[in-house]
Amino acid sequence: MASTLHNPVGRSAVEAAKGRAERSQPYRDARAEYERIRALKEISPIAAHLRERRFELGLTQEEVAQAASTSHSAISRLEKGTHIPQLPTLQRIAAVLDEELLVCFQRTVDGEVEREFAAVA
Amino acid sequence: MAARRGRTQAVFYRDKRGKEPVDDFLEELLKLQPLAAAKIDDAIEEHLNGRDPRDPPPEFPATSQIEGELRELRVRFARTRYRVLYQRSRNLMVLLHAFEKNTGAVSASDRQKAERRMADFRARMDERPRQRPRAAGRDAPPGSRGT
Repeated sequence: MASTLHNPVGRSAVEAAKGRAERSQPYRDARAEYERIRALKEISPIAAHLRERRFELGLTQEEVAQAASTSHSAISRLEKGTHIPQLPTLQRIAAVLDEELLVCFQRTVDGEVEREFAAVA
Repeated sequence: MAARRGRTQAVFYRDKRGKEPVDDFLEELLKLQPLAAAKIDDAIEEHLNGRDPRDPPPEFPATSQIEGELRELRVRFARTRYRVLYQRSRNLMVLLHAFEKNTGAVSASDRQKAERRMADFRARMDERPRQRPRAAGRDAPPGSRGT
């Protein structure tokens, strides 16, 4: 019979991830945060994107609010998916997160979808 | 989440010495940047696990084709890009090679590394003995019953 080592099918990724979660608190916390972000994506993809980006850059809501000249509550409501700020505010938030806000215009011509991106000046 | 019967399951390629290079990469990353390791594991579970094997591959930007059946799982964490090269084999998503991406396109050496591992995976899968159940008792051939 073939030995376990000879088997080219290694461990399942899920099993290995469980082991990492047992050994690392930051890893565990991050997995929980990504799960919340995934759920948020169903409600508001914009909110999910900004929350994920802030989390990965290690910024607090307060820090983003201050740098984007807006209120902490505006960022909090944005990240809950309950309120999307106006374009200029959103643009400032994106800049703090080292990103650029683009608007996509979409139209259907003869059944074909055409998209055009434009920067928010 | 455990993969359901008949659904895809992401597994690590294991070499002849018992090493699993993608798992080793994730373990090293766990020491330096546990949040990035969490994001890669999250993406593997979200995009490669629990799919119907007959479905088309996960769409861009989650994954994209490298060459033939070889694909890459694309993960960005903050300002760093990671890639996990994988290939489907029946209902297994075989994780072949993982690395931090610093160049425009996936390099030939990274691609070839994944291809070599997949060729080894296939060859060793094919050579694994498929033994038929041994006949016992009255069905055993004469001289093998220990009598």
